[in-house]
Order: sequence, then structure tokens, then C-alpha cells
Amino acid sequence: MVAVLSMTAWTAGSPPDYKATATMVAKNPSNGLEKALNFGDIVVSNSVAVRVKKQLALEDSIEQLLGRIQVASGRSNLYSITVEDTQPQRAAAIANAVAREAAALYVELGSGSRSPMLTELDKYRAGYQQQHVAAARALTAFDNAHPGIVKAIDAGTADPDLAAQRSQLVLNEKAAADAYLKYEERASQTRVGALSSQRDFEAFLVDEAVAKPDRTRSMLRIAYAGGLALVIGYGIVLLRQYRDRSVRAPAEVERMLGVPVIATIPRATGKMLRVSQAT
Amino acid sequence: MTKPLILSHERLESRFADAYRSLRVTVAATNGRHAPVTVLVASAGAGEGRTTTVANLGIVAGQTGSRVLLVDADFRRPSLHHLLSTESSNGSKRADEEFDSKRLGLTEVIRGIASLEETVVKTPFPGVWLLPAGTDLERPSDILASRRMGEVLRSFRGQADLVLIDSPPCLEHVDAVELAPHCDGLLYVVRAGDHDRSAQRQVQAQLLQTNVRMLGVVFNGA
Repeated sequence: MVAVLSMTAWTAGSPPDYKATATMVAKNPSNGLEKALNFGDIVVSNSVAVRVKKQLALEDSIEQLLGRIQVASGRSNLYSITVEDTQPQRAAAIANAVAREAAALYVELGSGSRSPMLTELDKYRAGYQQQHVAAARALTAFDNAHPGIVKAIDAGTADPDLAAQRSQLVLNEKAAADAYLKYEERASQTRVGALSSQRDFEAFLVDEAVAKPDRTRSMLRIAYAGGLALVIGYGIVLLRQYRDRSVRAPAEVERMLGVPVIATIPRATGKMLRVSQAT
Repeated sequence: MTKPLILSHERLESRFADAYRSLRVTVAATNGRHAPVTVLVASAGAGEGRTTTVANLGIVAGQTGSRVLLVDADFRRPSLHHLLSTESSNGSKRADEEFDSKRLGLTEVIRGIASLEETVVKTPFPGVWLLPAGTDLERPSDILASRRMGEVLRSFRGQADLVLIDSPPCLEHVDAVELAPHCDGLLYVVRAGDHDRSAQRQVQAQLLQTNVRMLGVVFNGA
């Protein structure tokens, strides 16, 4: 009993836990069958934890911090980010920081997922340009080297070999121009797609976190402490009984000494000292 | 150690007193007509209830009309006179005061300095007389082992129906072992919760070697 009361009092007297919950909306462009980017995963990611730890100068390790962050969501785009802490202000600060950093990372990752393709396209642009310029220069150089070749071809008096060479150069220049134009068209489409995706991956804080005492957890802790104390107390009692070599009953005295017990004097309690009733 | 509880007048009808009455009957019934007169009450350690047993057993025996003499042979820590006076039925301090005025007791009787009549003190309890330890308490073991001790105890038989002798704890002093051969019987007191089983066995073996008649064990505080 003493163990139970002590541990319960100790638990009740220990600092209470606080919970702070921030509510967020995180829009996802996926059709629901396959999520491109899960906001819940981002909230409890190491990247967010590292940023929050640095931002708030927390002493906790990343693992400890992540262990105190919980994220819950239903079928809608609403997410609840809950942080537990012994200090109410810190719980709220962490919850709000996690929400903001997770939102930023979500948008960053969501829009940044097509950027490698744009980078690749940019690399090809120079190649297409060079090919087209080279083809155009080759055609111009040919025409300068053979003045009047264009008129001669039109009149049908040109040397067939020269006419064939120029025709090839014209085809090369046209092919290079077409390739460059098609590239630009594709690149524009990709940029437009990236911009629209950036708008689709959107996350913002709906409700800032305010810390509240976590009474459920406190009660649970008291219950756990009480249960633990009961187990410990019971263990102590069993151990004491096991180790107790004291004489408790007349029969034990008789076994111990080999002499009969001829009188057992009760403890002088109030009941024993009251006048006995005649039966 | 619990505080000794003496059977004052208002407690004589309690179940606590009944336990001592049962003990008196058992002691009286031992060997029928040859019931022991001089009974040594001993225990292994201090605080087992030895002196309380002497006092309460004497009180319930006195209630039956018997002449009871309580002998305080605990020369190391004599306490019977305190117990009987402070817890007397009418609240008087008679035994204590009378003892203090006389300051004579068993040691004086053994040395032949005083007679039993000169040393015995009347207690507030009917039929109960007390022979205090006395004043000359040097080398008590020698006094107890003397031939005179046996003679004195035998002389008590004609003076009382029941003589109950309190003694020091056996684990601390051998006085009880010295006294035992001069007595008709021995009551051994064990307090419930006692831890030292080996010490109890050792004391028991010592007492039995004196060939004293073991009347039985009083299990105290059950």
C-alpha cells in the first residue's frame, strides 16, 4: 500500500506532459490511386526534424524529436501534427515549426520533381542550336563558293553533282531547323507543366498549435505507476515471506523446540481487552 | 518490544485474561495432585513477555483464592515491583512505595539477613504477594547457585500455593539455568515473530539439561 501511494504521488507530482496540435491542409495533385508525395511522410522525415532542431536550437536528438511528433490525417487533405513536450510553449513552437518546415519541403519536393527534366532539356538546347547553325553555314558557304548555282538549278542548267550537293545541304539545314523548333515546343510544354504542378503541391497552416495538458497520459502514467508499485510491493512481500524465519504459530514453536505449547497469549488489542461475552 | 500489559480489575473479564486463566488451569493440572508450586518462568531473549507472564499468571491465580508469591529473581533488571504497582487495579503505588521503604528482598533472604515475612510486599491484587529482588545484587550467579537458594525456594512451598519466579533472559545470563534445578517446573516464554530459532533451541537444550520439569511453552503475542 505504501509503495502504491508513494509511486502514485510521485507520478502525480511529476511535471505533466503537454500536447500541441497544428492543423494543416496539404493539396496533392495525384488522383488518389497513387500518391506522388505523401505529406504525412514528410512531416515525420529526418529533413524536417533537422530543420526544426536547427531553427529552435533544440537539444534533443533527431530520434527523440521524431518520437514526439505524431501526424494524423483522414481522407481529406487535412493533417493534424501533434507534438508532446513537458513545456507548453516548446510543444507549441515545435508543432508550428514542424508544420511550416513540412509545408515548405512538400512544395519544394513537389515542384522540384520535374526540374531534372528541364535541366536535361536545357543541355540539349545548345546542341540543337549548334546543329542548325552548322547546317545553315554549310549551305551559305556552298552558295558563296558556287555563285549563280541557285539560278542554274532553277533553270535546269546546273551541274547535276553540284545540284545534288546543294539539295543535301538544304535538307540538312531544314532538318536541323525542324529539330530545334520541335525541341523548343517540347521545352515550353514541360515548363508549363512544371509551373502548374508547383501550384498543385500546396500546403499551408490552418490552425496554429496551442499546448494543452495531456491528462490522458498523466492518468495513464499514474495507473502504470500504481500497477508497477503493486507488483513491486507484492514482490517485496513474497521475498520477505520467503526470507522470514520468524516463529508465527504455536505449531512452529513445538516443531522447533520439541516442547508442547500450553498457552497462547493473544496480542493485547482492544478486542482482546473488552469484556468477553458469555455464550 | 510491546508495553507490558497487566490484568487490572477492569480487564479481568476480557479474553486476554482468559488466556492466562487457561494457562493457570494447565499448570495446575500438570501431574494432578502433585501440581508444581515453584515455577520458574524463563525466556531466551529480553522482551518476550516473561515478567508480564509472571505477573498476569499470578493475578489470575490469586483471583481463585490461591496464595501466590511472585519472586523477582531478575537481579540484573528487577521490574516486577514497578509493573505491579504502576498497573494496580485501584491505581495505587502501594507495592512500589512499600518496596522503596523496605528496600529488602530475595538477596537478603538468601543471605539470611532478613526473613520472608520481613521482605515480602503485598500487591494491590488479591492473594498476590511480591518478593522483590533485594539490594545486595553483586555476583547474582553466585547467589543463585548457592545451596541456600535451594533451601529458600523449598521453604516457599509451605508459604504459598503457587510461587512464580521471574528470571533474566537466558541468552544474556545463566541465572535461569542456575535456578531451574531448585524449581518444580519451568514455563518457557516465546514471543511470536522471534527470528533466532537456533538461539531458542540452544537455550532450550541448556534448560533441559538441568532436569527441570518442562511444563510447556507460553506462546506470547500470537
